[in-house]
Amino acid sequence: MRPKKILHALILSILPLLGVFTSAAATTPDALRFSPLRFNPPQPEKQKLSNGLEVYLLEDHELPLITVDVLVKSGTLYEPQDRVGLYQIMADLMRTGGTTTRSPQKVDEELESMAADVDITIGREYGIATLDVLTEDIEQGLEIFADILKTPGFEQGRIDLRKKQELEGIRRRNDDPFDIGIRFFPAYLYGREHPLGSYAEAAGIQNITVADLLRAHAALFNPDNLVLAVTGDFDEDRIIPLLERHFTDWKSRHIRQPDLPEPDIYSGKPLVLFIQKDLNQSTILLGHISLKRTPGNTDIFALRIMNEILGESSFTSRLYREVRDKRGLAYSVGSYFDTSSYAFPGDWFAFAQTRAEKTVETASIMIGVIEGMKRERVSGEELELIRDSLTNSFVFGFTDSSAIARQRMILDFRGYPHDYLENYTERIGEVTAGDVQKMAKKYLSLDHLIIVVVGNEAYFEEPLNTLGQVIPIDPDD
Amino acid sequence: MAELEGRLQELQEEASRFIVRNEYEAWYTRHGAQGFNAATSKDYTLYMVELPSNKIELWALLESDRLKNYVLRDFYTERQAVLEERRLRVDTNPFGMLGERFLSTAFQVHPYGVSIIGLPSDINLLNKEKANRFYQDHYTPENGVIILVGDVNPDETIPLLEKYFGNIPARKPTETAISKEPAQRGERRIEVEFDAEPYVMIGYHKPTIPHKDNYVFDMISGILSFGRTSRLYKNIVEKGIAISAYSYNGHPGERHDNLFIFAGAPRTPHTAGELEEALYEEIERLKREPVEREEFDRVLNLVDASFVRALQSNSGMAYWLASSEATAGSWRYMLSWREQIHRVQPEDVMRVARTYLSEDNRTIGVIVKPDNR
Repeated sequence: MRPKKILHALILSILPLLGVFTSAAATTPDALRFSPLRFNPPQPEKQKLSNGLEVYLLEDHELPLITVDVLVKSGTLYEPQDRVGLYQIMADLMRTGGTTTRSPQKVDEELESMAADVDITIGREYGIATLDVLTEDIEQGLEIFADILKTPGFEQGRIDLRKKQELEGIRRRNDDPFDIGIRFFPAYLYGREHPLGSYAEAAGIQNITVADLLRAHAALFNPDNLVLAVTGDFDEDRIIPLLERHFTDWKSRHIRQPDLPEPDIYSGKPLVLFIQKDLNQSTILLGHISLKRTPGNTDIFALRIMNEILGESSFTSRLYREVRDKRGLAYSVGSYFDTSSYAFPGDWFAFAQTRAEKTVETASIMIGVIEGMKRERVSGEELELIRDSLTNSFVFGFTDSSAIARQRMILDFRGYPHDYLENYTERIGEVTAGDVQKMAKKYLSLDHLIIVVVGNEAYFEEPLNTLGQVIPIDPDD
Repeated sequence: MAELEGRLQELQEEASRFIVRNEYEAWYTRHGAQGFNAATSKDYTLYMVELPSNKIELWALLESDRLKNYVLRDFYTERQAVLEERRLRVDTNPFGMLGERFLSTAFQVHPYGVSIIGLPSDINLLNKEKANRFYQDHYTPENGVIILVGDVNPDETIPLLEKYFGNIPARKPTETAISKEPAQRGERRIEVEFDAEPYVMIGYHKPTIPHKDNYVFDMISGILSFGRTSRLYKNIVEKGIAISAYSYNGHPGERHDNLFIFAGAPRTPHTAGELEEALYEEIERLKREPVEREEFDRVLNLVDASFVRALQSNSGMAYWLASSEATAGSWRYMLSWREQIHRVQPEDVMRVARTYLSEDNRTIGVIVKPDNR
C-alpha cells in the first residue's frame, strides 16, 4: 500500500478509539466519553442614546419575538417605611392604571390585541420592567410601553382596587405556614423598623395616595436611574431610531434617594420564634446573615459550593441526605444563601417541613449538619461533585437571549469586570475543601441563630426550649 | 416500642452500608443536570431532566438502566417522605385539602376521584410488592414515550436510543378496568374546614379529548379567563368581588371524561356565596347570548402568540409534547388542536354551555373557617 493510504487506514482505525461514540452500550457512566460542549454564548452590544441612556442590544432571529427590558437602579429598600409595599403597588398600577393619554381599559385592550405583555417588578435593590411583543408589533408596543413608563395615569378606581387587593393579600398571608415563617425571620434578624425586616401593614396600604404613587414613580423611573436592553428579532438600524423617539424626551428629575440606616442585626443568644398553628407538619427555618456582596469579593465561589453541599443541590446535599433520604423526616428540605445583596448583608437559612412530632428532632439534625460543615472539611468526592456540577451546568445561564442580555446589564450595574463570566468556571475549579470549610466557619454562624417554627406544640415530642429561648408570636402582629 | 424502633434503626444503619447514597442523582448532578425530577398526574408519570447537549449518552445509559434494572432501595424511608409530601401539599395547604375533597365528591366511582398523593391510611398500606407489581403491569416499552427537545440530531440520536433502549423486552401492559362515572343527577356541595380565608371551586362533568365539545370548552375557558380583558377578570376581579376568578378545562386529567372548573378567592367583605353567584351569572350569560366574533378573535390571537412563545423553552416544549402523547395519543394533537380551536363557532359555545353547565351536573367545594358555623 502507498504511504498515504496506510496513514489513512491507520487514522480510520484509531477514530473509534477516540470515543466520539462508544460502539457498544456502556454499562457504567465512567466508561462514557463526551465530545466537548460547543458553547459560544453571544455577547450583547452596548450603545448610548443621545441623552446618555445606555442600551444593550442582542439580536436573535430564531422566533418573531422582541423583548425590551428596563433596569431600574433602585428598589424597595428605599420605600418610605410608613408605606411598605408602595413600590410594587406603584409598579402594578403603572400597568393597570392607564396613562395620561390612555384609559386603563385602552391599555389592556391595546396590549391584548397584540398579545403583548408588560410586566414591572421591583425587588429590594433594583427593578425590571419588561415589554414582550411579537416582531410585527414592535412600534406600537414600544409606544405604549414608553407611555406607561414615562407618564402613568394612576387612575383612581384602579388605585382603590389594587389597595383592596393588597389588603386581601394581607388577610391571606397567614394561610400558608411558610409565608408566616419567611416574614418573621427577617423581621427579627434585621429589626422590623428596618426596610430589610419590615412588612406591609393594612394602615400603611390604606394611606397610599396618588401623591405617594407619583413620588415613587419619580424616584424610580428617572432616565439617570435606568438602563435598556433589547433582545430578539429586531434590526439595530430600525430599533435605535424608535428608542430615540420614545426615550430621549424624558426629563430627569434628579431625585436623590435617602441614605439608609444600618440594620441592627440580631446578636443575642439563639432564639426560637414560635407561631402556634394547628398543623400536623411543622415549618422550620433557621439561619442568620450571609454576606454583603461586592464585585471584588472572592469568597463567593467557595460560598456557592458550600451552600450547594449544605442544602441547595436538591438530591445530593447533606441536609437532603440526613433529613429526607436517610430518615424520611421531610419531603421539602434544603438551604438558601443570599449572595445578591449589595447594600446590606443578605441572609441564609436552612428549612424543612417535618411531621409535627419530630419538630425538635429535625431541627437538631439540621443544626448538626451545619455544625458538621464547620467542624470538618468536606470530602474530596463531595467537592468534586459540586465543582463539576457548577461547571457543567454553567451553560444553563445562557439558554435565552433576554436572560443573557439581562445578566450582562445587571453585572455591569453592579460593577463587575467584563471577563467575570469567562473566568467563573475557572474560579469554581480552584476552590478547595479548606476554602469551603473556611466559608462554613465564617458565614454559618450558630451563636445568634434565629429559628422560626410554625406548628402545633401539642404534637411536639420534645419541647422547643431545648433549641433556644422561645418567643411566642401572634402572626397577626 | 422504643426498643423496636431502636432495633429498626440499627438494622437500617447496617443495611445502609450496602447503599451508595444517591449515586444515580450524583451522576446527573456531576454532569451538569438541572430540573431533575419526576411528576405524577392522574394520567401519566413524567421523568425529566435537562442536560448539556453533549451528555445525551449519559441520559440514555442512566434512563435505560433505570428501566431495565430498577431497585426500590430504601422504599420505606421514601414512603415516609411521601407522607411528608402529603402533609405539605394537602394537610397543611387549604387549596390542596379542598382539591382532594372536591374531587372525591365529584367522582364517586371513577379513579379521578382518588387523591394522587394518597390518603395517609393508603400510603401506609403501600409496600414493595405492590410497587413492583405496578411496575410490571405498566412500565413496558409500548406504554412509554421518550421526548427529547433541544440540540439533538435524529441521525445520531435514534441509533443511540436503539442501542440503549432497544433491548428492553416488549411486554403487553396490563389493562386496568376503570369504571365509568355515572351521570351526577343532582348538585353536590361540600364545605372543607380550614384555618384559612375562603376559596371556591365549582366543577361540571364533561367529555374529554377527542370529543368535539372539548375544543369548545377550551374556547370557553379562553373567553372567560385568558388575559385581563377576559370576562371573569373584568366582571369579577376588576369589580372587586374576588382577588382571583378563573376557569380551567380538563381537571384532574384528560384521558377520561373530566371536569370544567371555575374557581376563585373572594375579597372581603364579599363572601364565597357572592363569588359563586357572580360565576353563575357568567355561565347564564354564555347560555343566553351568543359570543361576539371579536371575543373569539381575541382568544385565537392570544392562543397563536402563546404557541410562538412556547417554542422558547426546551422543557416547556417537552412537557407539551409529552402531555399530548399521553392524553391524546399523539404529539400531533398540539397542532391539530390549534386547527380545531379556530373552527369553534358562537353556536357551539351556547350549545355546550346549555348542555353541560347545569345545576344537576355541578359540584361545589368551599373552604370555611372552623368557627364559621
